[in-house]
Amino acid sequence: MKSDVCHTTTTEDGKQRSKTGLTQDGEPKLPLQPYVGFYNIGNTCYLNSVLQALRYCPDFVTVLANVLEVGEKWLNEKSREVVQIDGKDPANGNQEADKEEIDNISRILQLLKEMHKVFEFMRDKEDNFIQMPSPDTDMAVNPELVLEALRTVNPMFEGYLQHDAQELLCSLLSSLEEVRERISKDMSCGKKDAMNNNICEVVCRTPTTSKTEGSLKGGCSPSMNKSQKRGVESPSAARKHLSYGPPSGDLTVRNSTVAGVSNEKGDGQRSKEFRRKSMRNKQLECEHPKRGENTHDMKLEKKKSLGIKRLYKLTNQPTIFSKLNILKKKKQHIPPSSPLGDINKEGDCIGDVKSSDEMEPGLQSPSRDTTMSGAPVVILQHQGISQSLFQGSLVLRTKCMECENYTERCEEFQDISVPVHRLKKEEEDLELNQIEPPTESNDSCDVTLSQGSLDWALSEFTLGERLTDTNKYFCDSCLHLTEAERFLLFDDLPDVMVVHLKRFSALSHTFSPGGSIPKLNDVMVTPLSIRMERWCTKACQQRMDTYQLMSVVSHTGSSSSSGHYLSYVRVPKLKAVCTQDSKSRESPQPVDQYEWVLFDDDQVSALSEQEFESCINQLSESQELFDTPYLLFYSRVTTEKND
Amino acid sequence: MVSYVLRNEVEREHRSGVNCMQYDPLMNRLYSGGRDSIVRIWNLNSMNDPYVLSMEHHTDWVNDTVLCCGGRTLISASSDTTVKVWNAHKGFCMSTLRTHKDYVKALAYAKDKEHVASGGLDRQIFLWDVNTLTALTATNNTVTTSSFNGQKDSIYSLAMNPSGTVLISGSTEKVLRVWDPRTCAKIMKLKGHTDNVKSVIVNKDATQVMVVEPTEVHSELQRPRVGCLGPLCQRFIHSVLFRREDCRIFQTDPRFPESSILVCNTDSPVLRMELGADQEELWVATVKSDLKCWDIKESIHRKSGDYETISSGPLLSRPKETIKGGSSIRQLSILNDKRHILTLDSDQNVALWDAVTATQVKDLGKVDFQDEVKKRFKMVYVPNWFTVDLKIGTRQIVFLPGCRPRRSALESQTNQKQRTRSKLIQAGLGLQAASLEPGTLLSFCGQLNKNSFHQNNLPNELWRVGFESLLEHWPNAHSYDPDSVIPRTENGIDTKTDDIKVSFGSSNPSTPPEHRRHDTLIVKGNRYFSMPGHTPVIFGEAGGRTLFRFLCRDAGGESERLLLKDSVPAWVLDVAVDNQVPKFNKITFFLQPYVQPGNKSVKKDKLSANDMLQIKKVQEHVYKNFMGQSDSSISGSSTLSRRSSEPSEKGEEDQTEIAMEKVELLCQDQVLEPNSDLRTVKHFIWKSAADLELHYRSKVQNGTSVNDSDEKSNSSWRTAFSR
Repeated sequence: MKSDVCHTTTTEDGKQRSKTGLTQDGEPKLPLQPYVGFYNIGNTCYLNSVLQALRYCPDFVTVLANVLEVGEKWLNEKSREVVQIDGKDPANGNQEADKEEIDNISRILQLLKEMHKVFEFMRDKEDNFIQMPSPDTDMAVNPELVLEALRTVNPMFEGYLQHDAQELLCSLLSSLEEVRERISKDMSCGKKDAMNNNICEVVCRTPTTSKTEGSLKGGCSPSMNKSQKRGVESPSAARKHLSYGPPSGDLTVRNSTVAGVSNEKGDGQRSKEFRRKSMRNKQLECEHPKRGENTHDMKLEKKKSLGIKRLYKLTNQPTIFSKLNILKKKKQHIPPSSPLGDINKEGDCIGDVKSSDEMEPGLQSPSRDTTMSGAPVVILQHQGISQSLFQGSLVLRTKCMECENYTERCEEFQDISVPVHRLKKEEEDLELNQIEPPTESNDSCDVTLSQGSLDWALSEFTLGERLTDTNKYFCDSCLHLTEAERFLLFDDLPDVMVVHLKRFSALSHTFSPGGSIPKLNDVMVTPLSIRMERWCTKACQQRMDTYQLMSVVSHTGSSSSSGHYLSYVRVPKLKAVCTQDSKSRESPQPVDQYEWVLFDDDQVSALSEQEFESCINQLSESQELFDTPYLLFYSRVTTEKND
Repeated sequence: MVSYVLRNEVEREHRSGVNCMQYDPLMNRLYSGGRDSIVRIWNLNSMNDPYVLSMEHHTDWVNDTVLCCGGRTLISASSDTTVKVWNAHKGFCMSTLRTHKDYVKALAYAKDKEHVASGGLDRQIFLWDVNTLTALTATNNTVTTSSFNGQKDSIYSLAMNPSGTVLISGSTEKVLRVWDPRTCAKIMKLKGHTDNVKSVIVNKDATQVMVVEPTEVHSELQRPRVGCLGPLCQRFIHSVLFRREDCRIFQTDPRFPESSILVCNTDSPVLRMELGADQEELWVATVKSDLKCWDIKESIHRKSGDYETISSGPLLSRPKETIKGGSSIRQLSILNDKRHILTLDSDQNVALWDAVTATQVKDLGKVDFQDEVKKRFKMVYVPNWFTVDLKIGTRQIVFLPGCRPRRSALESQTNQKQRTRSKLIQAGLGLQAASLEPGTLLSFCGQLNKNSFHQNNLPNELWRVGFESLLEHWPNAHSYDPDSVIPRTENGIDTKTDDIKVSFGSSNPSTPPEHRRHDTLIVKGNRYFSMPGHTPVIFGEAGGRTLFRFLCRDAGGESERLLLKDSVPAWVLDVAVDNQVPKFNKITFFLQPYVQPGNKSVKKDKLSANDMLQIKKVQEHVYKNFMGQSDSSISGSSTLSRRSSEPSEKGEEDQTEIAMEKVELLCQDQVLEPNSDLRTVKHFIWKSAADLELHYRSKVQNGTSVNDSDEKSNSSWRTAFSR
């Protein structure tokens, strides 16, 4: 638990800041930059930096406003309902759960509201400044209200400890998602007249209803430690976050949770596996049917727990995935001859959700999450909230080495965790390759990617595992245990792609004595734009998406327990500030309309592109403290705009 | 791991895909190694009935074969991790090479030197001298082999030139590694492949290598290339080369790779191609079991200039010859009784099999598989005791080792009684063995005739009966029946007299001394049925490697007897030789009076019983204890089973019937069937891991009287069960 060992004080932060030099160069410049920063109210740099990055995400503020609008309407409606029920029928078993849910949603809405307020306030401030530039203006705001709201949603942020910016981001995004899903679900249940008129019928891409989450909250073994509980409290937080790459013993809190889970099951699960699955499995496993609740729910739960149990007995395959394969019966067999054909022709259970797949051209993975396939969900959505900026989907493809057929499974993600550090074993492999006879190099057309590039990291991320030796894969077409390859492909890329560099991951021998997690300072070159085709499914490839670096949250300092977060944001220049939200992306503004701005709490400075690049890519040798990119925000550039 | 295969006595047709073929021009024979683990010999001179014989010894897919020594020796590589050397003319296995640790995927043959290389998923390549291999005898059976080190990934293809100077291996590493088999040294690595190298051939002087790798969807953007999946068939490397693109076969001149001719279309993905007579025939094996021969005389004489004029249709529309293959099982369902298996084969035929007797019960023809499964659903819960493996296209029953009894289970000194008891369990085959306490023995015998073998709903001891019949020809497994009270029963199973008198000199020393009685009847097998003698029995390691395979009927043979002794797992010995019975599972449950939903019942009595205890026994218990029956005789006993065992068996049966009339039990508000047992109730009705809760009420719908008696009996109930 990283957060427990963070004790950096603000004074330290101040020192570090001065050492970076950049800010100091920026400070004396007058007039001030017309950008509003956040005050650091006690180790809140993680919050400040993430908020800044989010604020400049195209459309984020709009989405926020929309969700707020619809959410509050929903909340009013719902709480009235509950009151009514309360009066009528006190024996309703649902009531408590409903209340709890409403509380939860209202807490989240409060957080979103605060965020929105602060953003609005900042924009007004900036507008004012542009109209009346004055060096005396207080160009920073206090994020206290946001922080308070955040703490009610997620108690882990209580106190003024240092926190992981990525955890915060996950928490924020998943809260947003939770509200979206909850509302969407209700709208589907024929309450659209209760909602407002501008609801249009959109089939949602998120078949996971928060009903599942509700039931997941059922109960968990008392032995779960705090972090696990947190995971249960906001299952979606863990769920939306995928972690791939070599099993480097990543020690972010959630990861260790999963490691614990896998150990308990003791069947050789890899840390590469979808965290979400293991979390969910775990939760289902320890779930106990609650009596006295809605009988329907009870049956559902029972079915689930039984299913899982049976599953453990029956399966020979050691990975969670294969277990889920069996559970879901959602395997897809796609013969190599027709990789595009008929994949969507799946039968029953996901029902209407599936139509979204069919609506989309080409190869769409049908294996949406159907664990809780009990109720088919048609989701009617408000235009604004149907849009998920950060959510994309990945396809996990398992290919039999014998017959080349493959099965697929689809997963949603909100950020991508990529490794920055090559494993020891691989290094050894490299050495071995180097000492081989020189004749080889003549023939070779080596395509391996050099370590330290984002390309390499993404390749590591998508490269799954090979199922060999005693962990062979049972191919349904060969009816035989065969070797298989498992890898990830992007199926649907989000408008904003968040790449998380796994810098705080520790190999067992590198634990520092204080218990803090050391930071991997490996250089990872951050490209200003990136193309994703090579890691995409065919349908996704055809879109030829290019991604433009939009903001970077970087971390300075040598370990998890000390350091400081900064954010670099690419913002539209001065006059574009007032239209920053939705308009900026659509209107074809020339590139030089943007500039890079460094937000260091309340200190704001503008950078040229060169300056920025040298900062994030650690080109200048002189830097004593490691200012290393930690979260990368890439936003999609439409192809027309690109060329 | 013990498994046996359900099959016909002679399997004349391939059951599944055919992985490899070898043509013998001298004899005009074709050797085909199939996924059904059998290498078959086909006589191509008589195409009406080409089957010559089957070479059966492998226990998993045969992946590759080479024909050496001018057609006298066949070497086969299999997924059972072995390489076997066969006398190709007579069709028997001469030796088995067990150096590989995983599937052996590929063989390569250097004709001039009579060397064979084998490579597999264990990343190992071994080089064998065929002449040494064929000279092996039982006494002189050490082979030295050369191995090649440095391979990092699973090997899927191997090629060697005839003079044995170059060995090329293709693997999932996406590089070709080239070795010198004479020194076992690495020569070089050929990089640039993007996928697993599935097939590789090399020309005579090792100057050119031809490689096939499957195209991969996600790599298409970077490298558009002609997709070829699967095997190559080499004619002369400079003139014609056949390759497969999924279900089509192309002929390509390697010098002009853009000009290919579509020779023919096949109905399913091609696994192997082999040139037949005069190199004018092309034998094609696919994932289906048919072997087809295409006449390529015409196509190979085409000049390269003709290539442009070729239209899109295939050159050949129909194969010249077809060797028909059989159907393979594609899907199966183990029925709830954990005894019968429904299978669906590739011809859509549905059949019902009996796993215990290893025979087909009924061929249901072309009916809907799922319907049949539903039709045969029985409300009975029996724990799994076997799995079925379809990998060789036929049913292979695998005993679940989890079912094995613990050795300590019944080694107490009251052995005699228990032995009799276990005999009875075995005899009753699924009668409620759990209710069998010594006192109930006679009643049990009485029931034996009433309940025929097939009607019994809970064949708990099936697996052990299965063992006994699997090993029935093995003298060590013959059991001694001290009392010989039980005659071989009806049950439609022939009463073949195989009770023989044997002197005890050679018998198994592990038998406890008290069981050694001279002049008693020696009983073979399980008295009820015998497995078909042709049933292959396989002992394997937990990981799946085969230790020993024999046919059921051969277990009594000289060498098998010895080998068996070494390879039989200890837990099998416990069952088949020492007649040990596994411990019964206890189940705990609560028994409460039935109350209307809404009212809370306060008392909860926790009971424990064998999970096979029938509901009617619980009813009887309720009747005796709560319905005003005399309970003085049973106070103090602490378990249900002992209690039920105390009255005389006649009276007990009567009581049971009375109880069944008067009392009914409910679980989840559902009235329970008297003949179902606790584990079935728990599995199908309770559906939870928590302790089972049963409610009882009087069948006479007189609520008040029942409740009264409840109150009365409650105290005695408490005393009976509290400690």
